Amino acid sequence: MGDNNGSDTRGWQVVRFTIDDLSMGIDILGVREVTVIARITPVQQAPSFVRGLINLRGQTVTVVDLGVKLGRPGRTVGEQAHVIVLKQAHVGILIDTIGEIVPVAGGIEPVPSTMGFVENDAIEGVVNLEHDPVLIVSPEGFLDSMVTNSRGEKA
Amino acid sequence: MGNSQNLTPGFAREFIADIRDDLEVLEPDLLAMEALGSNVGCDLVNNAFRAVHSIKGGAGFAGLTHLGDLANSMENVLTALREKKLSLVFPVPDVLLAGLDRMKTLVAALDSDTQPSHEREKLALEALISSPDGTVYHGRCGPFLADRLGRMLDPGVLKKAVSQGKLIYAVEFDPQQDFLEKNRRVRELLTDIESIGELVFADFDPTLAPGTLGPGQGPLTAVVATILDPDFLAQVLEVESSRIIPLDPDAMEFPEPSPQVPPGSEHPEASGAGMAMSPLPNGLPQEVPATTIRVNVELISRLMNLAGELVLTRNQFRSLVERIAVQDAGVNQVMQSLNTVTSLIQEDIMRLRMQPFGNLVSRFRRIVRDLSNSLGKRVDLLVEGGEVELDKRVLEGLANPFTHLVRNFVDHGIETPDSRKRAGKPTNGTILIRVGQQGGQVHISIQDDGRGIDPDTIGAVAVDKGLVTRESVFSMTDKEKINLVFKPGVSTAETITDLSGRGVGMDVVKTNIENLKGRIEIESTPGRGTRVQITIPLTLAIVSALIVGTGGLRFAIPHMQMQEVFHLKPGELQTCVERVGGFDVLGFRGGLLPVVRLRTLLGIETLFFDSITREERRERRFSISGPRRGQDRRKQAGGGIFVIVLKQGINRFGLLVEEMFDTEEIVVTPLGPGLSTCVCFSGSTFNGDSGVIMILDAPGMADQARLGFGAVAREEKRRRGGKLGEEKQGLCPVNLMLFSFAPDDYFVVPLASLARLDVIRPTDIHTVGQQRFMDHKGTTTTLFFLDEIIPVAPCEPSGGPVGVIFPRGLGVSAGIVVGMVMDTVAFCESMNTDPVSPDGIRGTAFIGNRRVRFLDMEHISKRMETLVETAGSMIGEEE
Repeated sequence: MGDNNGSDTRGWQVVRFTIDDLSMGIDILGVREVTVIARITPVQQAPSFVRGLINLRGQTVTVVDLGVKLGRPGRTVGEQAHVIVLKQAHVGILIDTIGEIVPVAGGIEPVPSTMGFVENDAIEGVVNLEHDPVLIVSPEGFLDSMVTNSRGEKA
Repeated sequence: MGNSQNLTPGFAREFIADIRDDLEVLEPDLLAMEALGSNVGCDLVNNAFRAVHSIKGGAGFAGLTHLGDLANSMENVLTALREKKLSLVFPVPDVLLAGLDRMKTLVAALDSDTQPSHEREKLALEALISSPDGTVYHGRCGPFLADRLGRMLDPGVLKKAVSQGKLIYAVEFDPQQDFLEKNRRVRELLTDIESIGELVFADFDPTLAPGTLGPGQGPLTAVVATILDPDFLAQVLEVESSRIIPLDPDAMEFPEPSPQVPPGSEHPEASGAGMAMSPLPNGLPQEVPATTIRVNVELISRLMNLAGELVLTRNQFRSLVERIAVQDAGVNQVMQSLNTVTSLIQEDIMRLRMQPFGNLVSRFRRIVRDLSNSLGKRVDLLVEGGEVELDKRVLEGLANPFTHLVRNFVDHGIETPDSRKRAGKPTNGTILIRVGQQGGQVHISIQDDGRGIDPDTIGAVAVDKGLVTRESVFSMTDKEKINLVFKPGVSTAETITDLSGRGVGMDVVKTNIENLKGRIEIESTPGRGTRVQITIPLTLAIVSALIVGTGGLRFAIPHMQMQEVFHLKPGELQTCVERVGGFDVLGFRGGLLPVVRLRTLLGIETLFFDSITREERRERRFSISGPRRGQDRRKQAGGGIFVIVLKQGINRFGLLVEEMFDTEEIVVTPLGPGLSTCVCFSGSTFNGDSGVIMILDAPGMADQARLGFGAVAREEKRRRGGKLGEEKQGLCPVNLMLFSFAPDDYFVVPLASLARLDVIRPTDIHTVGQQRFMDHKGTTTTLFFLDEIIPVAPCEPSGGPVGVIFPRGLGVSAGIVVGMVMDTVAFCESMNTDPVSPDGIRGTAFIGNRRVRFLDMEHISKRMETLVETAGSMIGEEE
């Protein structure tokens, strides 16, 4: 567990991770586990952000490349690719590096336009952690964005 | 009022759950009772009584006074029915059903503050039994006692007593009142009984001294057979007449004779170990459930996942065992056991969540009854296949659409009795629900013998509402017009009832069915009836699937979507495939089969090894048929290609794959969120070492490939009509003999090339050393089996008669056993010749619905002559 300053009023924690140059975080209560995957099965004809399916102890988990959703080029699944598996559904987010779990003080701000960033259901907003803006991913928003995107209704 | 105050909420919830279960069981019983009327058997009434009694008990414990009160009134009525003091004519069933409904609303209102009144139903029930002439029967313990006693009495003894003209009674004694206070010995009681009849049974020891019957001892029961009537008997035994309870041996349930249960021991569970099945007069068996247990649905889901993992692990283990090629017989045996146990566990766990379709049916019966009564119609509801099981979730998903369909049938389908009589139909309309399971699909049909649907009326309505154009309706078939009812807003009810006439129904029904990944269709004949066909896949099945491969990836194809598989040798593909209307098609069974390569369909890039430049290059040629007819430069390992014939409704198409592996039982995981664009897949599964593999969906693939079945069908028709225009040779019909040597291995021989054909019994074939002979019509002839002459699969002896052919112009006396003779056919087409074919085969063709191979009789004759000479010389050497 990360450092607990003991001074936050909101009392929630995020696990930090990076996708490309983006510093991101997600509420740990929405995370089932973070796993390393060895092999991924691609699904033909799936939307570009779906990298494929993995076998997680007998459960099929759909792995999504959040970077693609955020307009970045797709990442390759290397030897030690990390996936954050959500609690809510059998879905996992493919990430570059995994960081620490840190407590959050203060609320979620809307994403400032200076970040040069396309609005996305998956991103709830920004929090300031150790003076850096960190994009917060919302699990519900993420799942919503998977569904609407594959119907082609939203960008 | 009505909420439990005396018990902890958890406790009360258990009772309330039990009450709900009992209410569910009660409704079909009451409906069945009504249907049987005075023919009703005691078992059914007993069942209903038990359920109501249980509700009363549960209500008492949970502090639900209104419910308990109402249940008590219902109990009394059911007892009166049982005693035949009341018969099941109007208004009895209605009052009972009204009581049931009120109990349901009481239970449903438990969480709210107001409890609806039950006075009306209670008074109605009481009115049934308090008639001016009869007495209100209290039925305190009578029926219950009979049930308990039934388990302990010997039916033989009772029957004998009855045949002697005696009546059977149960007598309850209170130890305090009847023995201690009167200072009476039990033995004296026995003497009294014997003086007026026979003591059939006593649950106490008659030799006991009175002092041993302490206060607080429960009532003692004796069963007595006597010719006396109850009042006289009470006098003789010195007990109150209310303690004399007449028993009807015919109505009692006796357990199966079982040596393990000692007579007189009270073990209700043990005697209930078997299911008591007693058929009702109309043939519906009523089961008395032994024991059930309520299980958390979450737990079942977890068990199912674990079963899935067990299957996966078992598969991995099995492939490891095979690879290690262990010689140890012990390991193989254990592996076998593991296989068996795993399969059984898997099956049973799947069944946990399955429920019979019949569970829904009771709901429909009620709707049919109420609706037909209110509309003045008479409708019989018949169900076939109610025992077919579906996953609970699927059942729940079907409940609404089915309810709507049933309502529609009663409301719009079945005519009034007058109309029916005028139309020459029986006054009772019939709705038949049929449920069947095939492969991984459940087929449900609902049909009636009502007024049917007029296609033109529907068509006109659809045009009026602007849903289709007049022109498109014009070119529709009747069936297509009728299926327009699925378009939103179509309704032809003359009056819009509040139930189903508003025309919003059928499209919602269709959507609901499609949400379950099912299909729905309607057929109808105006004036005769209508039929709705629904097909639902068993999504949670463990299905049988074929594993195929292309481009290094593996996929699974559910067996139920496959018709068959065949193999084309390298080069055969190019020669056999043509291009028709923009599609690649293969000649198949006298028709045309559109084909598509799996890897093209899915956009999988493959590399091939170019044998000339000796390097791997990316496959860029996607069309199957092509001008190249010579040797394919691109040699793929193993060569050849598999054609998997798949179904999309009644259409067929071929999927081309490079590799084919085993058939496996796979656990289907539906596609997760975000994968709805993948129309070619219906889910994913785990496959041994390969991890996750996708499950292909045949209809989806046909859609993706945009296969134009209509265009192909038209071309087929054209060809069949205009055979003469083709540049094929040999149009004169040739008479061929068709036989099957090995299962699904068919051959033909021109009859003209045969000198003789015999049909013999396998017992006529004798083996001497290496050689076979037959004794037939007095002569001994050398025999060869076809696979001894040319390289074909060996036959499997079936014990039935086999055919033996003798080629014309053969230099030796020998015949060929060709297996099962099927038919002679007149063949007008040309044979497909093959540059690469085994010796002895001239070519192939499709006849009827089989792929057949033409025997090369010249080659075969030569081979036979050689073989006979060789054998002869060998025998010569031996001698």
